[in-house]
Amino acid sequence: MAHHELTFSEKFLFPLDHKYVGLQYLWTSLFMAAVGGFMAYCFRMQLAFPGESIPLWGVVTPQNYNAFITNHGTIMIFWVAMPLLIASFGNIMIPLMVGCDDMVFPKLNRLSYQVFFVSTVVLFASYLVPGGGFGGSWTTYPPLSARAEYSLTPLGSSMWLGAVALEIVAFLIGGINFLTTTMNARAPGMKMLDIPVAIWMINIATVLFMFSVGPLVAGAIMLLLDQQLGTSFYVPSGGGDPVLFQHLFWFFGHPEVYIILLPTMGFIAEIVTTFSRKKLFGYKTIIYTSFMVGILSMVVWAHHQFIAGIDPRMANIFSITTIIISIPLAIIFLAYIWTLLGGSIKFELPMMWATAFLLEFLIGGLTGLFLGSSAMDIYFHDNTFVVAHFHYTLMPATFFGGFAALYHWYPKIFGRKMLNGIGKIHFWGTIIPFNGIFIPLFMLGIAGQHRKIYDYTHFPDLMQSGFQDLRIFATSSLVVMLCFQFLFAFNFIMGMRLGEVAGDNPWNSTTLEWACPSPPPHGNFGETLPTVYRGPYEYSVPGSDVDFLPQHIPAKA
Amino acid sequence: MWETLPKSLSTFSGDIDHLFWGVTYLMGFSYVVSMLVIVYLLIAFRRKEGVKAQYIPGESGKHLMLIYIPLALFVCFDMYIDEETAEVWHKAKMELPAADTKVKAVAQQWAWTFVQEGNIETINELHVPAGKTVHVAMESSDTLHSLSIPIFRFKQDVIPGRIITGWFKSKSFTEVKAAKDSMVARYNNRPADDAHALELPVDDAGTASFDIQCAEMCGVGHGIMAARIIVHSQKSYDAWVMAEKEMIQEMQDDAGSSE
Repeated sequence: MAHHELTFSEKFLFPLDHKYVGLQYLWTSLFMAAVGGFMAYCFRMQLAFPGESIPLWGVVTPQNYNAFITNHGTIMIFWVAMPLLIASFGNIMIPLMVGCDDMVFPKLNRLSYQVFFVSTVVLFASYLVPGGGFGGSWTTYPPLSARAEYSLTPLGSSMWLGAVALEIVAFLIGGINFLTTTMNARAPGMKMLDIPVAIWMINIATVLFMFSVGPLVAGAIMLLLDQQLGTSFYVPSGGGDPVLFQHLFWFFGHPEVYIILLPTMGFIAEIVTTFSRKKLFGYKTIIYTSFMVGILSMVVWAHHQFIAGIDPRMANIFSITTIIISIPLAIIFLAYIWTLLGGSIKFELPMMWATAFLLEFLIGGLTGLFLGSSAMDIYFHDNTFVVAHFHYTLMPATFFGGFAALYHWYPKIFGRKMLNGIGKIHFWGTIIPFNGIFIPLFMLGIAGQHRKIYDYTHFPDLMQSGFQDLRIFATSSLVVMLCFQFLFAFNFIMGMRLGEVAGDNPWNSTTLEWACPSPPPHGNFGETLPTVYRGPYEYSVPGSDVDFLPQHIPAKA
Repeated sequence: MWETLPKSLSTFSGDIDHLFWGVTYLMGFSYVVSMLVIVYLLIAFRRKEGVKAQYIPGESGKHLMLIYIPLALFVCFDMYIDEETAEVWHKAKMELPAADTKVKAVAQQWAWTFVQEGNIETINELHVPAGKTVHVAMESSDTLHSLSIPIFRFKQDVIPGRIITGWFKSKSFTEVKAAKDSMVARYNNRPADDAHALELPVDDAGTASFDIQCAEMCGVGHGIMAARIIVHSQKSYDAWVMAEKEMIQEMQDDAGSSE
């Protein structure tokens, strides 16, 4: 099959090539991360200096504050974590790592990004309509979200809902491609257990998404009818039940956490093996355990509702399933730790981020056991302890894992490495302030500070000596962390011109994406697709004179 | 700079705190051990010239023991958490001891109305006698709210269209007052340059007051939906009820005479 040179429009405007669709998702998600970060800056500044005019925005009104916290959450989950980890790396890496020339349905792929782009536009437009952007928190619980007289955002709430719905459509379309490509278009010789863990994880996440999102869509349609046609699916005065929406939302919402976590776990597996020159410890154990995580994650949702008016007997059951999900995650985690055993570990930038992910995510994982316990949740529900907990899970999953993967595959995508020195400054400039933001939030949460409050000065017990200092410390850390991200932006753009030329396989890695040129041309592998002879992590095989055996190179006779 | 749990002043708050510290020790232990192992491995197996990595697939029974032995310990931690949780949860949320006093709490955007026996209505002030079991019947007239009293470790979402009854029983008034005094002492001992601490509301003799929060997003005014719980000694409570009843009576008399 001959592949022609792509025109500008085929590359950047309406691409069919999976790599350029992936790049569209990548650029959009990085842009949205900046928007979400700016919102965090605005509401954290309001908490540290209540009522004062803040640089780059002005006075944060209660309406602004609620819209910022709502959209910060929404954007970071739906417009950063999912497009960055699943859509962009999924689109770019799946065909490269399973060894085919493109996605099975390139036009669906193009449609997926186009729908995603429209969803982004709708989300931004929702701030500009009368009443402003939706401020009922990203969980959008009715009746607040169902009636304009409660939320005071007659159009903003519906447009917010519409934007999320479009985003979901985009991911469903994209997901079809991920699954079909992985199942049907693998290189000759690649058996199921020769698929790299990253690809497994993206596919497990996609299946989990498809299983869990249906109830949310049904719930969102009913909510939209409540908002615009005055129906009463969730409004008690008309016979509806507000708690029903919470079940539908979290039936999707909790698996969503694992949809974001699993792809990162996959990237970390690729990076840890490559940089410690080790075969992955317990490949099969990891794959099968991940299935178990996926299944279990669908029966834990009501732990978000322990005190939300569900039957207290039910809380016992969900508390137990929630605590149980720590077991498969502990297995995966231990497998990663023991992959380091006996390795030859080199601290390149991807490995530094992978290590940071392991150590920081562990805090998030272990603090989850506090909240999975229904009894402790009485105290910690809607408390900043929860905020600190899920930022310790989602920030390592989205950003630390995301940075690890970007540094790892940047040479493949752009043909050059990012700059090492700036990368190291950016690493420490992100990790240290990150802890500076959320350790104070743990402490304030333990001390009883509830979340989503735009001004704590109305709560004398939360304005005792020392409390405000912690809030100012957290905000200052955030500002420092955000400033260091400009270094990353600089590195990301300048690396394309100034970075060290990478070559096909700069990290001496084994998987198929390193078998094609960097950057891969249209069609990826040229005239003939590679053939796979072995599993994905054959590093330091005894009796071999090199310390890695790529999947596509036949064994010597 | 180093904040911890606030004072624990209801009959079940101590159980929740006990569970919290137990889990903190277990999880702290798990974190420290995992971190030490990771850091040790990273240092011990850093790249050295001429040393080749080992080939460990981690599929044999012997190697999988490296996963399953620490896992067994962690499963024990899980079982401890599950068991303690069920016990504490049962005490705080599934039992409903007989009431000494009943209060109705009505939430609306963005204030609390508390209705005591004898139709005494107070706004954003919940008066309760110390050492007595109080039933709170919670209802909302618009959106979701959540009645949170951190000092009692009490929290319950309030749902329009339903009446949910919760309970708490504070410790004796002496203990409550001592806790409040230590909060005030800490406030008075704040560093001279602490410009951020706000004045604590002053308590009358025979009362101690603490925050009530709304802990569920309820709209634009969610951040100002604050109230106070005022814990009375029995004597002070009786006097307060008497005074309120007299006031209601006077208002009714006035209304009657003006007709």
